[in-house]
Amino acid sequence: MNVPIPKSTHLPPQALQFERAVLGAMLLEKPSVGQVLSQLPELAFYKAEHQLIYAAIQALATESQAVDQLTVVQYLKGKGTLERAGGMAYVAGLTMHVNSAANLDTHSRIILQQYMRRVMIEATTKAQAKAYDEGLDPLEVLAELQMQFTSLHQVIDQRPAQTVADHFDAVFAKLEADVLKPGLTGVPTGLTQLNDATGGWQPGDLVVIAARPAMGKTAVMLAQAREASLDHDKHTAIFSLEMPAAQLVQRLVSSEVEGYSNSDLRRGNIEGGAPEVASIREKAKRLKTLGHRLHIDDTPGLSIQQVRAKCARLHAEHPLGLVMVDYIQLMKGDQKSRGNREQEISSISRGLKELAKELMVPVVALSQLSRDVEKRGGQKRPQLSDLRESGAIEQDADIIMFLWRGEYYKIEEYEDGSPTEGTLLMDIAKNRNGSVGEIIVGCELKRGLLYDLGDAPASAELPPAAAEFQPRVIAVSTAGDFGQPAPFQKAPPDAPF
Amino acid sequence: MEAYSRQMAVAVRRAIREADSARFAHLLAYYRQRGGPGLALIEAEQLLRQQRQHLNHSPQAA
Repeated sequence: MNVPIPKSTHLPPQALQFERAVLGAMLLEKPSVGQVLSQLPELAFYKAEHQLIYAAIQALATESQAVDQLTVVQYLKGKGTLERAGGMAYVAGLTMHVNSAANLDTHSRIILQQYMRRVMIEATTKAQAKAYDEGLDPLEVLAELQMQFTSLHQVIDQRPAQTVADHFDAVFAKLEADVLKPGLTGVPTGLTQLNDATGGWQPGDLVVIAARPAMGKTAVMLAQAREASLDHDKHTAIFSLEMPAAQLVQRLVSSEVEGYSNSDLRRGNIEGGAPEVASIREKAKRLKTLGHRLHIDDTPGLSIQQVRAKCARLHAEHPLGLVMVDYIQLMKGDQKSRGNREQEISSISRGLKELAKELMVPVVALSQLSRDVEKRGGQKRPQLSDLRESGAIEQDADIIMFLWRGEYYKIEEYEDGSPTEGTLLMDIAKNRNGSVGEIIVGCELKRGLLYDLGDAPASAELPPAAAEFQPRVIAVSTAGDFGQPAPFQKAPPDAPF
Repeated sequence: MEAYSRQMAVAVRRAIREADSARFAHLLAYYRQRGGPGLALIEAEQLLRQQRQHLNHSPQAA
């Protein structure tokens, strides 16, 4: 059903006298040009003539040409738009409307306010029509509306050009804070070697954790989310497109409470009955008292626009420290890309990277790997080409980390002879701002626990690898080696990560 | 330092040269307020027009 957009009888908000005054000031005073260009988008001008003149001023300034009456007229003439812009006399007449450029900021703000009103009217009018359309998903309509308002906020919150001097003190304040926790500048991962390799998950980065099923992707995500939200006070948003929120919370409980696996809790396999349940509840109460920092959204089939809109809303309520998505292939891309899976995945990865930069938080996204890994002989180790329908994931991600458990494939030993039992291999195959290489950590997946080898929790069934602990950095190479499988070898004890 | 590209300088010079006296007066007042490379061009044209006018009114011309 297509509902026509309702027509308003009101004249759209506008401030033509201020538009003329601002354009006139730009033609009269050189400093006005830069000042206004940094504040107003072309569409902020209501009158089509003014948009054309403003676009000409913008183009001349971009080409470092002097902006004056004659150059603007010449530019418009060259483009064949002088008549549509009101003609030579109209451009010349604009300078007559300027008394002083002293009020330029005020005039620009009035133009911007009227523009905001027009955008809001247009967006809500369209949304109204779409809301009547039974064929459209209301969540998508809402997400689109939120996106439009978010972009409007971005127009208003224009950051002034910044200088090195502006940042100098802030850089040293951060450095002073960083020396107290050397190497760890981002969101802690809870794993020493991973922290050393990445400095923690960095704001603005897109981290892709990719693996075949049963390798422990969700466990890794939850362990990182627990670490960030419960141990380091970071509000964390999890978008779980696969697993319902209640199941995730059940997994978190089994991670918090010794002696019970996730499967015990799922089946109610608890000796001691109701009193023991009360005891478990007491032991896991940290999830209740601090759990307000861990936000879970288990809406299935979310689109990238919906995730961005939800994050923008959450971020406005509680500044987020980490965003996690489980997993990319279950998301929908933007509407334009639908139908072509590769383009859709590309639009998702690009959207996640933009989200990371918009909110300046790390975005950790899980990704499913293709079956090609299983078909491959030998150790069935994943590689970059295995990123299913990978599209632009490889380009958009700042870090790509593969997970691999030899134990799952009945491979009992790593190439150096150490046992794979109870361990998880994290292969950092791409690291834009750091080194690539492999890390082995201990894991107890039935409780969703990950730990540094040699640092096993008291309750963990100690794997042979942990028992004969050695520094477990088994291969390190520089970022330049990106994509090259690193050979298995034990690093010396003073290895860089 | 503001500047015109070569093509723009040619175009602006032509527009100034072709301006009738009323438009020329408007442009002169405008560039005196605006400054920039246009002012140099219009002042050069003004000088040229003054010289031409002087020549037209000189005894030899008469």
